Amino acid sequence: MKIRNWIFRNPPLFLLLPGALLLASFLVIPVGWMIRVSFYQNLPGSYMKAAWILDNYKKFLGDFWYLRNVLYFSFKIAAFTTFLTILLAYPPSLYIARSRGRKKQVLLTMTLSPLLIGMVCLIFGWIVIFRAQGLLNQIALWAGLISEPVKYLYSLKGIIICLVYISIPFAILNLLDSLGRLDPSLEEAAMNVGANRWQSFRHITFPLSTPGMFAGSLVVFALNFSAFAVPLMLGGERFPMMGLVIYIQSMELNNIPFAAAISMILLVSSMIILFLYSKAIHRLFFRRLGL
Amino acid sequence: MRSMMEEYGEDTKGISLKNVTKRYGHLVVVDSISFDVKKGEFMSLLGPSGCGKTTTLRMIAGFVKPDRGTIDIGGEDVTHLPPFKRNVGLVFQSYALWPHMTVFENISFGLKLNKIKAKTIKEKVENVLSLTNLNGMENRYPRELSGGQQQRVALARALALDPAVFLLDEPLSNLDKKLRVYMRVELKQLQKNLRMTILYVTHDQEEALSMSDRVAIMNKGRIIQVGTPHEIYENPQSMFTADFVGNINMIEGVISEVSDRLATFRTRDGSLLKVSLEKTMKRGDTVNVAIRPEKLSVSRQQPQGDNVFLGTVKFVDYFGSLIKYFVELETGLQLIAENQNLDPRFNAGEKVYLKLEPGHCYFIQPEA
Repeated sequence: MKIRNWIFRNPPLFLLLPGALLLASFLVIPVGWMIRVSFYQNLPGSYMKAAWILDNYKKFLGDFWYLRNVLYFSFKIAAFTTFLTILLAYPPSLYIARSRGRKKQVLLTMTLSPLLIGMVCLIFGWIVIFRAQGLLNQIALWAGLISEPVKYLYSLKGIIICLVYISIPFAILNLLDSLGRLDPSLEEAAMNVGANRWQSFRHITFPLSTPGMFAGSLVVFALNFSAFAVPLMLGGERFPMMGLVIYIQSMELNNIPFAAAISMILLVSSMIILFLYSKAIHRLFFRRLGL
Repeated sequence: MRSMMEEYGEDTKGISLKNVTKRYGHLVVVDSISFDVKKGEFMSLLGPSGCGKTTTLRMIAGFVKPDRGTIDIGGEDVTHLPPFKRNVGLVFQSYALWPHMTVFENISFGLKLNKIKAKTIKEKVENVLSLTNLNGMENRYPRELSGGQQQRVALARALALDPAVFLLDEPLSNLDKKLRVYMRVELKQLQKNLRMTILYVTHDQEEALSMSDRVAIMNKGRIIQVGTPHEIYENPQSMFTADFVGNINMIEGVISEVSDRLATFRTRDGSLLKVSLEKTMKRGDTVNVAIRPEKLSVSRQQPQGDNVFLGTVKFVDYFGSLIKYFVELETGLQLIAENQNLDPRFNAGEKVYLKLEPGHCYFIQPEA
């Protein structure tokens, strides 16, 4: 009876319960456990021992190689691919936002279809395209753009192309949210006072789409900063991004405490970067929009 | 063509549409319409939603390309000019203020594009702000303004560029009733003082009648009638105009007799009506007789003269300043009379006399 009374008096809390339970069991507890493990002592050749030591953090943060070739390298890749993704996702987003009816539905479905395929399958697809005798090289050779096959596999080019490809649907979804809500009469009003198409885009549509660009870039950056499958399958150990290093430490070298510490560093640095980024964006654009 | 232009002289240099047509697929939205808005004139385009009035406005502003016909603004053919090269000021129904710009930036945006000096821009903006009673609002964002203030910013933005003509697309329809009536007066005053040329699109007949110098009635993509508010209201040329503008009693029947200035009209239910004759009508013509509800007089005593009928008040509709009586005549014909809220007043069920002055009744051709 008591439980029933509680449910009737607090329907919102009751409805939150399944989600809260799911989050607690699959996010809060594992992350909490990971934090704990990051202070454990690794026993090479065997397993690990409960402890409260900072060795794992020191090993990463005290080593310039890790800071530069793993943390900063991952940041660079993530920042660059995010920039490229937003740049490439913007024109199609604008086009989709301005289409109507069936055309819009078809375009949206096409855009989102890569999300329906597993990431591993997508990457295998790119391997086929990237190979020395692959589609990309054959077309480029046939068209006379190159004289000998370009090495995409196990190169940074391939990783960046593939990361951007996987990120684009996320960027488009966020951009569409902003662009789709814009009243078309805002641009018409600009043209009415003498702005040509470029000027009305530059002064009206573009500034008003910054919330979508910002939301999209947050998602894409977070995804690519922690990317794991793409650098693993297309790069191998030559391109040690954070996610890949965590994988190698935990699954191949069996150093679970070190892997947990790197994961924590990834999480915290991600949060700091996104926090600073949103502060900057807010100062630059959003204050005008009243957000 | 040249001689015609010279004949009309200055007056035609507002807006001039000739045989303008727009189709979407098989749907003819605007069907070969022609009309002029003279310089300094306030003209309304009045019609129900979907009649093509907004499409017409958007063609003049350049957002929609007509399939046929020509559009002149200020004596210049602009049919094929893009929107940003037309000298028109458009005020949108939604105001379309740019949310990321202050009032000052909204108003000065067009001036800045024209590379006008900052000092001149500032003066110009101050000028239009005081014209629209918005002094001191220049640093506010649109979201910080009331609906009425936003509406005035939209108007100020158009005013700042001194366009040859103004196009207003239902600009008052998002305001509440009191403010709407107030803005109507303010807008009309502004138009008169600045001698603005305005084409005003609305579906609100009261708005059109109260502000316009002339009204064009539009229905199903065609212009049905153009005239002063008085002509449109007192002398509608079609069933549609009579019915759309104001309320009207429509009585079906046949002309049974014609003398020099009066016709006798036999209604379907057999009553005989005397109607003054303005147009040429023949005996035997099947026509309708229309009379405005406020032109019917209601009384307890039998009045003298023609067209006096005895009936019963069926229903009383009380509006405060007005009272509507739904009266059924002995023949079964139902008429609505609209009286001011003055004595005598009548109750439902009462027997009353209705008098229809022959001069207030007029003939309208029934629709085919």
